[in-house]
Amino acid sequence: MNESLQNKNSLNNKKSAEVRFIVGIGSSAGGLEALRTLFGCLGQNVPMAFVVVQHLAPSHKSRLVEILAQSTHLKVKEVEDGERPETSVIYITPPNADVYFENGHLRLMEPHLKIGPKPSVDFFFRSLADNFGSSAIGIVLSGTGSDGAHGVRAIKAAGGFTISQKASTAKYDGMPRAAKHTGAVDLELSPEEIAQELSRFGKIPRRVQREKSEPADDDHFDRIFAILEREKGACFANYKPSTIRRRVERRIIATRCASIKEYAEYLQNNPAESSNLFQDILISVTAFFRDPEAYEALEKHVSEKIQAKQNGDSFRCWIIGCATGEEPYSITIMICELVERFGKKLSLQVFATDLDETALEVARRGSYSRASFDKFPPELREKYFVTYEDQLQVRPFLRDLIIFSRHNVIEDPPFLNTDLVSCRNVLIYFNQSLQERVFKTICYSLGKGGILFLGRSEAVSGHASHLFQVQDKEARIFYSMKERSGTILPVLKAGYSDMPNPGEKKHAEREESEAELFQAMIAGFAPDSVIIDETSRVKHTFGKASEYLSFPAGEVTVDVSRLLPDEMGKELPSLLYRVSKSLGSAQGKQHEIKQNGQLYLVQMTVAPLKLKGESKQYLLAFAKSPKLPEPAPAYTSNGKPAEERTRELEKELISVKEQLQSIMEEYQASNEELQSLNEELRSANEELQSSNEELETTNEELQSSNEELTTLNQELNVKSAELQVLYNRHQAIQNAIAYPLLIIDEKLNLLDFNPSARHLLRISESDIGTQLRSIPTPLDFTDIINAVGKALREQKNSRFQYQTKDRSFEIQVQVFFGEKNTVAGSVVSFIDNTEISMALDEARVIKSRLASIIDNTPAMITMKDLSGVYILANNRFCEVMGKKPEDVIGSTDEELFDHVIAKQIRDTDFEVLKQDEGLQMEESFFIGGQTHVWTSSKFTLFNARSRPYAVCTISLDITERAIRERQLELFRHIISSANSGAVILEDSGNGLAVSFCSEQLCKLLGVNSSDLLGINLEDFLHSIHMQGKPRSVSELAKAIEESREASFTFTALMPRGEELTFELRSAKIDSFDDIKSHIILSIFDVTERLKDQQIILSQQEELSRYARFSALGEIAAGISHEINTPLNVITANTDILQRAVKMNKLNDHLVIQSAQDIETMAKGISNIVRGLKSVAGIDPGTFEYASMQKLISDALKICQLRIQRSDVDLQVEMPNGDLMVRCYAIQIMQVIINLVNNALEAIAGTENPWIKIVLKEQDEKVCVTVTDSGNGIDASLTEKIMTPFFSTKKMQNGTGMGLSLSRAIARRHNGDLVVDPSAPNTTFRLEITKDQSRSMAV
Amino acid sequence: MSAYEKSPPSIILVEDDHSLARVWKTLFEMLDYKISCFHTGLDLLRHAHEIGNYDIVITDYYLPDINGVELIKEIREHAPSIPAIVLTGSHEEFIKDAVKKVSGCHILYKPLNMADIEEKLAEIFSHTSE
Repeated sequence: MNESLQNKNSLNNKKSAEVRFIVGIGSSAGGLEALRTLFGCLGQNVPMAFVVVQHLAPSHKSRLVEILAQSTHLKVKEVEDGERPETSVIYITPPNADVYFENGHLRLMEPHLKIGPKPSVDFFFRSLADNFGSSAIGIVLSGTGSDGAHGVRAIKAAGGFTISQKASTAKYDGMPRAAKHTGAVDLELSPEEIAQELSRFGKIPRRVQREKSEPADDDHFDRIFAILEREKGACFANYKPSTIRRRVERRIIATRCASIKEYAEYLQNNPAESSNLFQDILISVTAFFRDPEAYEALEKHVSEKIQAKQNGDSFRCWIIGCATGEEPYSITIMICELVERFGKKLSLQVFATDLDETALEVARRGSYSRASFDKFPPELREKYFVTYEDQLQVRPFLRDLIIFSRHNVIEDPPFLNTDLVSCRNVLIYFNQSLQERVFKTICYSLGKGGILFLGRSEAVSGHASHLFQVQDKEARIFYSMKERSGTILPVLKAGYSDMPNPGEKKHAEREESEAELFQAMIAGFAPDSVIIDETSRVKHTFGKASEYLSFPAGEVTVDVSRLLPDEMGKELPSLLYRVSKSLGSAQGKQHEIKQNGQLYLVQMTVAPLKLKGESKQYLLAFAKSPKLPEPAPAYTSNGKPAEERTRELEKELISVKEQLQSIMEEYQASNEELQSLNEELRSANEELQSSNEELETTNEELQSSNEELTTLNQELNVKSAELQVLYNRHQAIQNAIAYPLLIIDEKLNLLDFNPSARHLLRISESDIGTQLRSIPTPLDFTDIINAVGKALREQKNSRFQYQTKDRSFEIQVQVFFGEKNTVAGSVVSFIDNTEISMALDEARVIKSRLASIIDNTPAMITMKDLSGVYILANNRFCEVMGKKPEDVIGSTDEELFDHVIAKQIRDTDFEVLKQDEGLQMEESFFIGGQTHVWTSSKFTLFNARSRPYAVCTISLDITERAIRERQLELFRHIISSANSGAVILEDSGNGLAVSFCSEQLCKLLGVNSSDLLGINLEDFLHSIHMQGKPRSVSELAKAIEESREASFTFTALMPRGEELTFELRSAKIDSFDDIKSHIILSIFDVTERLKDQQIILSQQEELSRYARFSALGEIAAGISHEINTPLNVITANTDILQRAVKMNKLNDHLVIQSAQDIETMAKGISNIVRGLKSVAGIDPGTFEYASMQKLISDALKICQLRIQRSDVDLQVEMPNGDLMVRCYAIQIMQVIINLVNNALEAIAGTENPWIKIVLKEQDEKVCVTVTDSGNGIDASLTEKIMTPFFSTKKMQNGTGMGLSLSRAIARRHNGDLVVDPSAPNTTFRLEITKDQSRSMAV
Repeated sequence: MSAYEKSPPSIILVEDDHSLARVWKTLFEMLDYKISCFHTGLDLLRHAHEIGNYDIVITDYYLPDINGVELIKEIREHAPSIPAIVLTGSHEEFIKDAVKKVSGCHILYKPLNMADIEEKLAEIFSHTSE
């Protein structure tokens, strides 16, 4: 919906939402909750204004408006003086003010009561009722006290609707209950239900005020009245219709019936509802001295009356519709005061009657709330009431003056001879005719000049107005006009309780008019009769039956037998009896009556009336006939003429009758009074009885309670004794505890302590109960207090260390719990742990010291448990092993090192464990790429139970030292075993002296080393038996001493006669630091070497000789082989030829073939020879220039045949011209032949064999490379093949010396023969230096 | 005039000198020997599966890739009982020893003529014909 439309709607709503109901809500303690719920559940559109009267402290700034505004959509505001209530608004009464309505406007005023709740709910409700009547809805919510109880009655009386909060839903049920007790509450609901109910109110269609009733409704109303009359014996037919309707409607709403019809059904089916309806109709509001001005006026009139009385007279007073009794008490008080004032001694009788039993009970109780006394003169209050808290109780003497009883003023006969009748706010309920009747009744009741006191809005009107004279119009005081009390009472109309058909009830008024019609008819034709019921009550009269009826003095009755003249009255019962038995009619005898001076005879006939319904009714008909004059009277015993006597007697009789009558009347009256009293007493008695029963019950209960208490007491005694025992034990324990103990409650107060605590903390009994904080002790409690506080909060025990000057304690805070598991306190104990603390501190220091040592020592320290897991490894260990500490600890040797090392380590561990003492050993491991040597100490660690638990190893790295030692060892060994002597001379102050002499030298010289020790250099040199003496010994010695290094060679004659050659080397080391200066002499026996050299020289000679031979040999071998093969072919061929001849297979082809073969072979042989010749022409021993090209081609000639025969492709690359080289030509040729032969052998039989020979000049060298189609030689074989006797194949060339010799030749020529391993094919390279100027070794 | 009752033996000849091989072949065939020539040990071994079809192997000692004795040992893997003759020009002891060590292996010295070969063949096969 867009805004404008919304506005329009709301405007419309506003217009149509007239305030149809004003809802007054009274509440006190607990009311806020109820209000919030109530308003929270209310819908949006309720055509009501709400006024909240919430008891507030006068000084308190109320936030009620804000709080309630949060709970509801409705507008909430504080009451402003003079404002008109609007619909859907909640008005909140401000504190310290009373709120009320005036002409429909809200008004505020100062609280009218000094004492009592403010604002006053009763006060407000009364004004609400006065202003809005049936539009008022009163709601009493939670609260203590009884404010509002009065108020709801007022609202009800005004035709409004009342609701009280259901006691079970109210936080405080005082007010709702009090309201309910007044009987003036229509509904008891929970706040949510109240909201619902209010919404329903809003939905009830607006009722147009009707003066006349709808026919259909009338039927239902009749039915309702009939039910009501039957149940309650009260007929409301003549009550003001509007009033009755409203009341009925209220009940309809209260019972949630949808219509009058439904309610009539409901009423029919629920007997209890009749009581509710009854109550509702009767509800009226009353107060003490209601309308005080009227009372003042009344007082004047009554005082006149009282003053006129004599001592001993009675003052009778009748209050009609006394309701809850305020009025009778008020009037009685007034009268008492007057009586007292005028000092009269009168007997005061006050009859207070009402239809409403409930109200009468209240009246009888005589207990009223304070609030009722707001218009009460204070001085009288004290006099006539006893104050009990907020209730005032009528004093007994006052109570005794009043008789309360149930009385229906319409039906029941009145009290007689009353001085004052008060009938206030009763007649307003009655219609005109009823009112008239009541007036007549009252008139009847009052004595001469009796006072009628009416309610504010009432007046004597209509037909009865002639009965009274207005005395005070304002105060509604009237005087009775009649002479004396008791005239003909107005006849009573018949009721409706026996209508045959409930559905055919007619309305009272209409009935009346119809009845009058009938009356008229019957009056004409029917005999004078009355209809009576089985109790002889007159129901109806026809004709002039009233002539026969007269009312006696005293309490009026409608028992017809009393209304009839004596004789007839006495006869009636028997007639009735006869009728009831025979079911026919019964006729009585003739009776004589006097009417208007005439004598008549009357005969009664009683006949049963056959009517539907249960109750029996009878027709009592009167037949009148005139009395015939009597015959002449006879004389009487008096002597007087009989007539005269008769007359006299008659007169006497009449007067006696009259007297009797009056006596009877009086008797009747007192009887009535007695009856009334009796009833009163009976009810009082019953009350007392019930009270008594209650008391008895209470007494029983008390008795049993008493029993229980006694038992409980016994139990408690036992418990108490046990408790005492426990307490004693507890104390003993507490005191026995050697360490200080404090017991603290949850609020940190000291509860108890033990002797140790007393001493330590300097506390005494006087400190018990005080806050821990405030106890004067020498110790600082701050930490303790904090810890305790924390422990209490978190409900967790704690402990912490606490230091005093000289001792340290472990403080334990233990929380303990009370009932319901809540923290009740804590126990604080101080456990002295000074020694332990110090020990711990020391241990800590030691531990850290130890750790520091372990970590910083250069030694490696490890500890392993029995399973070999490392539990400690210091930094050094980790460094050396190249591991991280976290990797080492928790691992085993197997995991950290390789298997070998690990085993090594573990084995030593087991060794150690086997024995008690530790082991010292040297270990060496290969770790991290180098060998480490350590000196280790391994030992077992024992635990507290002397069981081994770990092996500890401490190792110092002595690798370097070990290496050095070993080196030294080696050195010594080397020296010792070397074929030399070593002598060390040291200068230890006395000049150089031998400090060491090697074994070998000693052996050689044939001396012991000890002989040589200590001698000086010269002597030593002498001892060597030097021969030759090129220089003198002393010169030698000098040379040695002066120069840093020197060497000499000499020969010496050995003791065994052989001559040896020695080489002497000396080294001098000057002193530095703390190393003394010394000389080291190395003496080498070079004899063998020289010999060897010579041998080598001679060997070389031989070798070259051999080479020469071998060269020739090579060639020879080569040649022989070369020649051999062709020779084989030749012989084979000759063989072929011979055989062919023998076998006659010779043919030309064969001959030619063979011949060719032979020729080829022969040519080859001649080539070889030619080659040989050229070779032979060369002087093997001359070292001359030769042409490399020629050499190569000559060599090739020698190999040519073979080359041809093996189908090898030969390539030769040689530069043009002659490359002259000085060399031994034969030898070079030999090399080339060797290479070519080798190549030929290697590739023979392979596919596509070829040999390539290349000659080139390179730098200063000449190179000849011989490459064959072979795959190259394996690199690892390269060197080997150069060695003598090595050949991968057969030593075809005889000695196999080929390559090595060739190499030797090359070398001799300042060159070399090498294999080129990188070449893809086998390649030999011969290099010869061109310039052979350098001399060669021969 | 065959010296044999049966047909003349079939021969495998291993000789690296092509000329010589050719001449021998001519000679043997003239004498109605069935003969197959190979020039290297490898060459023969490639045809190892055929060796069984022959009666004898005659090989040079000095071959380019293997010596004759070794070759015979190799052959024996394929034909365990085939006789063999080793030809050599060298009278070295070690060759003699090597040949002796191999059963069914004989030696002949170069230069030789047909008569020497025939004599040896008869000697070998007279044993076998028994």
